[in-house]
Amino acid sequence: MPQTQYLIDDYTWEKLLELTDGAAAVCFQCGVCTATCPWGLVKQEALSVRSYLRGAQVGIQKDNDNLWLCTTCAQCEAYCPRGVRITDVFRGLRYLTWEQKHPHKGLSNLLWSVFWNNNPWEQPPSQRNKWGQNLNIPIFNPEQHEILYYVGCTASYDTRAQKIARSMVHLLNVAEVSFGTLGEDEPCSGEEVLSVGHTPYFREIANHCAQVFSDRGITHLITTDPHSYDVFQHHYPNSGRSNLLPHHYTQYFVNLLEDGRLQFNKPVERKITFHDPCYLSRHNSEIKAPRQVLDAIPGVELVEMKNVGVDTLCCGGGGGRMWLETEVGERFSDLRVKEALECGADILATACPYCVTCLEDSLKSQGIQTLSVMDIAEIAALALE
Amino acid sequence: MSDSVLVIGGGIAGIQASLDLAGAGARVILVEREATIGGIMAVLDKNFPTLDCSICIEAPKMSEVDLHPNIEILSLSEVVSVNGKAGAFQVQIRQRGRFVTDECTRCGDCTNVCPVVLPNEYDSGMAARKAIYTPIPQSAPGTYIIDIEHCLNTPPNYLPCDRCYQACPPKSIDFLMPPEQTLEREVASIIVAVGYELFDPRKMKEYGYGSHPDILTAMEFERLINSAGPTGGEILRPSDGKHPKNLLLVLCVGSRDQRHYRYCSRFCCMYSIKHAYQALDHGVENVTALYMDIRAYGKGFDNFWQRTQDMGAKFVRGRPSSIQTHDSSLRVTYEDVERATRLQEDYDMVVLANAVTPSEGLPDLAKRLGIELDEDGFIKAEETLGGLVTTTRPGIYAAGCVSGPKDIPDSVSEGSGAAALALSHLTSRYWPEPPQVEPMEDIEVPRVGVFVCHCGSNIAGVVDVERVVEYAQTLPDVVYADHQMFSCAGNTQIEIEESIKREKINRVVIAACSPKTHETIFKGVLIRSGLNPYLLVMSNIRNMDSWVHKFDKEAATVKAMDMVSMAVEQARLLTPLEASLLPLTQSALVIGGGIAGMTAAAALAHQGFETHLVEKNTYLGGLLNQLDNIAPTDIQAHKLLVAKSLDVVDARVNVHTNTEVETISGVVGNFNARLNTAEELNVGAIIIATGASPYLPTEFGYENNSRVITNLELEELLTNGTVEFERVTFIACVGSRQGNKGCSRYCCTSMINQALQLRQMGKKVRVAYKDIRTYSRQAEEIYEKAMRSGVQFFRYDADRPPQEAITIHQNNGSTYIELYDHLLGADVRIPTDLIVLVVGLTPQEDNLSEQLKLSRSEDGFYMELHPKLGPAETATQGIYLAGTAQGAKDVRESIAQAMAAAAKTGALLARGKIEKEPLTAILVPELCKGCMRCVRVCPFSAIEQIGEPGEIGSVRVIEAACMGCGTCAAECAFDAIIMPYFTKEQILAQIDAALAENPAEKCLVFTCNWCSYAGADLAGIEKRQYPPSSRIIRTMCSARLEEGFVTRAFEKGAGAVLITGCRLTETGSDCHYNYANKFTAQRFQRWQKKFKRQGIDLERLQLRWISAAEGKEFAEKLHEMDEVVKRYAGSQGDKVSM
Repeated sequence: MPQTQYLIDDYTWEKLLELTDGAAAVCFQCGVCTATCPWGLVKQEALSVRSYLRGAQVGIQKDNDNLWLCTTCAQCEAYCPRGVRITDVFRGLRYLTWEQKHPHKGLSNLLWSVFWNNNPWEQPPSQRNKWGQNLNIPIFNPEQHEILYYVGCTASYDTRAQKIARSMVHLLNVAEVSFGTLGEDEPCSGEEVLSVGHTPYFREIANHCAQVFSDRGITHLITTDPHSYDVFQHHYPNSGRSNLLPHHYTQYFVNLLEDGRLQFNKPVERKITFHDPCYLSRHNSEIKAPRQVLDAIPGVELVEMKNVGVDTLCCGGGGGRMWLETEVGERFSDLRVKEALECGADILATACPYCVTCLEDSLKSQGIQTLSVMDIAEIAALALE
Repeated sequence: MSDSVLVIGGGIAGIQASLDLAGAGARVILVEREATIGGIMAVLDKNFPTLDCSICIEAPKMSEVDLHPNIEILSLSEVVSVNGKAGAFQVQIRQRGRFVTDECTRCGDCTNVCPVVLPNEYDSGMAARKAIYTPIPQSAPGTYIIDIEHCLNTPPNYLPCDRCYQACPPKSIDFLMPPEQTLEREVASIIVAVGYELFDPRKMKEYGYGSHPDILTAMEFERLINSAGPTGGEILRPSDGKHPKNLLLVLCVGSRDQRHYRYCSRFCCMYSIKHAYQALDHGVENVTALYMDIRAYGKGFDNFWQRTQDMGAKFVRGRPSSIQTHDSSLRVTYEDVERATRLQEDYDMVVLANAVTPSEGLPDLAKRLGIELDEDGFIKAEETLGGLVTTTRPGIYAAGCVSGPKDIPDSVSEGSGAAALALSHLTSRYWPEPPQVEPMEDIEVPRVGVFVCHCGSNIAGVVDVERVVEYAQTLPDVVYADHQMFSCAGNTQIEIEESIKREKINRVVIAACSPKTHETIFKGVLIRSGLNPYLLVMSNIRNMDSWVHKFDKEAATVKAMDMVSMAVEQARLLTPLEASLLPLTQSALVIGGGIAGMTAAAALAHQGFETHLVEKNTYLGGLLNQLDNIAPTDIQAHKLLVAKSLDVVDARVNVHTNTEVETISGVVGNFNARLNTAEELNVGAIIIATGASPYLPTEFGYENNSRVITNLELEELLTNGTVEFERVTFIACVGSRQGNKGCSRYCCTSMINQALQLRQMGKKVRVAYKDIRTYSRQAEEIYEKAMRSGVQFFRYDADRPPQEAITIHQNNGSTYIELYDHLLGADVRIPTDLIVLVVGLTPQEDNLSEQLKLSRSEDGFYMELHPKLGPAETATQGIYLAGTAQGAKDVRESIAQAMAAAAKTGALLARGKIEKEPLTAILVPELCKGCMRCVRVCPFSAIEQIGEPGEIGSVRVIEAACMGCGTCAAECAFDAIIMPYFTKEQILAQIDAALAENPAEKCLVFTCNWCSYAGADLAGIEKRQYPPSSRIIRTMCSARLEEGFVTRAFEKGAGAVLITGCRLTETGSDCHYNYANKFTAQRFQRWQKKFKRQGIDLERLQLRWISAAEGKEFAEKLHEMDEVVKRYAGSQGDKVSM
C-alpha cells in the first residue's frame, strides 16, 4: 500500500491554529468522537472525526470529501473527555477550503444567495414577510413592544415552516404578548454561513445584524430557529452581554405558562414524542423547556425515544447539510422516525424548522402515515380554545 | 514526652509504617475504620508484574502487626479531633462496638446460624455475608464482628434473636458492649494513610455499568479471578454463570477525563495488563484492552506487558463511546485509532478500570487534623521538606494513596518514609520483653506434626490435600497431620499452636508455600508454642508443585507426598539451635550524596544515629545540580537543594565530599569502609544511594552533530535562557524501553515540562514519543497544558527503538526528522533546527556490588528484596537502597525511597545489637585431622589455624565471621564440620526420601537459598509450567554440596542430578558467599569425570547457574532435565524387558 507522506509546515499549522482557535490542541486522540458520530450508524466507512482533529492539531489538511459530512450536531462534544470544541475545529477546517477556493460543490450558491437575497433559499428579499400578510403583525417598536419575534429565513420562506411562524403569532396574540417583527427588514442571522465555515463572512453578517438589533432598540428576542438562537447566544459580537437576550420560544413559553399568561385549555389527546434539536439540547443544554411546554398541554401523553436529551439523534440538517444531497439510506432522520414509531408515538414533535423538514421528508420517502411531524408551536396552537 | 505515633489507616502503607515504627521502638496506635486491617491489597488477587498472590504476601505483615507488642490496633475507629502540636498531640478516637469479645475462636458457628444475609463488601457485593461475620480469613484483629445496623437486635433494648449467642461455644457475644466509645491518646506524631476510593462508573452512563451484570469494575473482576472470591476463582458471567469467550478491558474510566478526574490514576494500566494475562491464563479465548497510553513505568513492567501480548492479548489504542446490551452480549463502539476505523464489537464481559479518587471522608478528616488538601482533593504536600510525605502541618505525615494514586511499592516506600520522619519527634523508645513461654519438655524423641495448607485453591485446586494428609500420617514419627485453608492466617496459627501443645508435637512440617516468604511467621508459631524455632521445616508445595504442574493433578499430588516425606525425614533429624546476640555499631554510611543520599542521611541523623554521607564530587546534590526545575512540581531544583543541604547540616550528618569508598566489607552490624582519604569508617548499616547515570547516546549522530543534544544539555540552555533555535523536536525513549532497559520514569514529565517552557518562549515544539507516561501527581495536567499551548505530539512505533523508527534527513540545508505517526496513520516529515534526545537512566558503575555481593536486576540496577513489599531493602541484611540506584525514578520517588531506607536502617540500629542466625559452621575437634583444607577454602577467612597441620583439632571457627555457606563442610573429608539445619544426615535423609519410589523417573535438584531456590520460587510465581519429575533440596549455598550427596543419589537410582546456584561468570559472581560457588564449579568438573568413569552418562549430572530473577530459565532447564530422565528411564525399562 503506498503511503502518504505529509510535511509538517508551520504555515498551515499556524493558520489552522488561528482558524480553529487552537480547539484541537488538547485532543489526545482517543477516538470517542469517531465512535459517537451518527455517521457510524448509516455508513460502512464512518467519518473519522478524530483524524480531522489530528490534522488540525499538527497542521495537516486531510482529504476534503468527508469534511462536509459533519452536521455540527456535537454528539462527539458531549462525550469528549478533553472538552474539545470539535464543531469549531470542523468550521475552521472548512474555512481553509473556502480560502483555497475549493469548497464543496453547491455551497458557493448558498453564500451568494445570502449575499444577494439576505436568505439562503434563493428567494427574493421582498417576499420575506409574505407568510404573515394577513396577520397584521406590527413592526417592532421598542416603545410599544416587550419582545421581538425573530422569524428567521426558513420560517419566512419555506412553506412548511411558515405554518410554525403563523402558529407562533396566534399563540403570542392569545397570550397577549406585545411583540413585533422586523418585517421585510429582518436580516439573515448568518447561522448557515457559520456552519459551512465561512467565518469572516459570518462575522460581517453578525456585525451587521447586531447593529440592526441595536439600532432598533432590541434587547429581548425570541425565535423558532434554534440555529439562529445559538449564533445570537454564542457567536454574536454582543453575545453574552445584557444588551441582547435571545430566547428560544419554548423557553419563553415556559415563562408565560408560569406567569399564567398562556393557558392551554383544549385537550390534545395524542401520544407525542419529542425530538431534541441538536442546537437546543447539546449546544445550549436546553432539554427541559420543550418538554415543559408539552407537559402543560392537557391530554398529551409524552413518550420518549431511545436517544433523548444530550444523546438526541441529529436530523441531519445542520452544518450546511440542508443544502447538500444525502444519499437514500444514509439519512439520520430515517432512523429517527423509526425510533419515534418504536416508542408508539403518533406525533413526532420538535422545535426546529430544519428538523421538521428533514423528519417530514423521511416520513414521506418511507411512506409512513401513522406518524406526523409537528413543531411544538403548532401543537400548542391546537390546545387553545 | 512521648514514645507514641498515631497511624490512621491500616492499608499496606499504614501497615508498613506501623511495623517500621514498632521495630524502631515506637508505640503505635493504628486506627482503622473497618473491622480488619489490610485495606485494598487484601482484596486483590495477584500483584503485577510478579503475579505474587496479594493476600499471601500481605497476610504475614497483617499478622505481624496484630501480634506486635508495640502496636495497638483500634479497628472500627475514627479520629475525632487532634489538639496540641508536634511532639505532643492529644487525639480523640471514636470506636464503634464489635459486640464480640476477644474470646472469639473464629469457629464460625455464629455465622452459620445467623439469619440475616447481606452483600459481602470484600467481594464487591458479589457474594453474601451474615450480620455476624469476619471480613476475610486473614482478618486482623481476628475477632468476629456483628454488623449492628443490620442485626435483628437493637441493643441494649431488646433481644428478638439470640441464635448467635446460643451457638457461640465460648459465649463471646456481648450485646451489652457500648455501641460507641471515645478513647484518648497522646502521640508525638501522626501518619495519615487512609488510602483511596474508586470512581463509581455509574456516573458515566455511556458505559452501562449497573445496567448489565456482565459489565464489571476492575475490583469486581479482581474478586472473580480470586480463588477465595465468589466463584472460587473461575471467570463466570454474573448474568448466566457461563465462561466468557471474549473479554474487553477498558482503561481510563473516569481518569484523564475533564468531566470527572483530570489526573492519571497511575496503576490501572498495569493491573489491566495483569487482568489480561490472568484472563488468558484462565482460558478466556480473546482478550482485548482499549488504552490511551500504556503507563508501564516500573521495573519489569514493560516486559510483563510484552509477555501478555505474546500470550495473545490484544492492545488497541482507543476508548469506547458506548457499551450497550445487545442480545446476550455487550456491544461496544469505539475507534481503533491506529487504523482510523470505527468498530462495533460484541463482548461477553467488559471490565472497567475505574479511576482512583480521594476517599469521601478525607476533607472532613483533613479539617479535623488541620491539614490542607490540593485541588484534586488529595493531601497537599510540602515537597521541599519531604516529598509527598510531609503535610502542611508539622508532625503530621502522609503515606500511600492519600496524597495521590500510587502502586504498592511506592505506598510501602512512603509508609516507611513517613515512619522515618515520625520517629524524629519521639523523645523515648519502648522495647517490650520477649514473651515468656513455658519451653516444651522431652523433645529428644521426634514427634512430627504435619500441617498441609490449601492456600485457598492455590494448592488444593491442584493437589489432593487430603490424600497428602493421609499419606503423611503413615510416615515415621508423624503423630499428627491435618490440612488448613490458610496456614498463615492469624487464627490458623493459633490452631497450629494448640495442636502442637495438645499433641506434644516437637518437630513441625508446614507444607505450604516458600520459606523465603513465610518461614519467619511459622518460626513465630513455634516460639509461641514453646518450641525452638529451628525445629521447623517448610515444604514448598505451592511455588514448586501446585503452581507449576497445574495440568497434572495426579503427578502434583504424588510430588507433594514425596516433598512432605522429604520434609518429615529432615524434621526427624533436627535439633534445637540457639541464636547468638552480636554487637552492632550504631552508625550508618550513606554512599552517594544526591537527593536520595542527602534525604536518607538527614532522616537517619535526625533519629539520633551517627551518619556518614560520602559523595565523590565536590558538591552534594548529584543530578539535581544540572536541573532547573523539577517537573511536575513547580519547585526550583536549587531551592530543593538548599532546603536539603540545610537539613543535612541541621541533622549533623558527617559529610565527606570529594571522597570515594575504596574498599568495603563486613556483615550486618559491623561493616568496614575504607575511603580514598585513608579514613576508615565502622558502621552498622549501609545505604546505597549511588544513583544512576544519564544514558550517553550514540544514536542520531549525537556525537558529531551540534544540533543534536540531550535533554540535560537542553536543561542547561533553559537555565541560562539561551535557546537560539526556532524549531525544536524531542525524541523520547532514547536509551529506554529496549532490550533489558525499562522505562526511565522521570523523562516524559520532565520532557513535557521543557517542551512547555520552549513553547512559552514562542518556539515550534514537537515531541516524538511511544507512550506518554505522565503518571505522577500533576503530571497529566502539565501534559494537557503543553498540548493546549501548542506543543505537537507524534507517536512513533512502540515496539521499535527510536533510532529505527525515526530517521533524520537533510534537504537543501534544512533538517527533517521522519517518522510514521500512528495517530495520523501516515509518514510525516518534521522540519527541525534542534533535536533533543530524551535520555533514559542507566545503572551506575561502581565497585560496591562486587564487594558487598549485591545482586542486580535484569536491567542492571540494584535488586531490591521484594518488588512490592521490600523496595528499599536488599537481600543482604544491613544494606539498603535509596533512589535511582535501585531503578529509574523521579525526584519525589527518590525522596520517598530514601526515607524508607532511613526508616529501615533506623529500626536496625535502634537496638544496638543483632541476632546472629545459628547456621554457622560447628567444628567437631576430635574428628578434625588438621588437613587445613577448610582454612584454604573458607571465603570469609572465618576458619583459623590454631595448631600444627596434621594435628587433631588444629583449627577454629570464628563465629562472628562465619556466614554459614558450608563450603568447609563439603571440603572436609572427615565429617569434622557440621552445618546446622543442613547437616549431612539431614540432606541424605531427604535424598533417600525423594528417591524412595521410581527413582529413575526423577531428577534431583540442589538449589542454593539465595538465587536458584528463589529462581525456582519465581518460576512458580510466574506459573511457568514444567514437568513434575523434579525433587528440590535447598541448602544455603551450592558450595555446601558434597560428593557424597551425588553418590547417594545415583546409588539410589536417580534419573538425573541437577546442581544449581547463583550465577558464576567470567566477570563475576552473584554468590552471596564471596565467590564460594567457584568451588561448586571446580568440584562439579571433578565429579563429572568421576561419575563418567563409573558409567554415568554426562547428561545425567548437570550444573546450571540460575539467578533469583530467572524463573523462566529454571523452568526451561527442568524441561531439559525431564527429557534426560525420560531417556534414562526408557533405557532402564528396555533393560528390564530384555
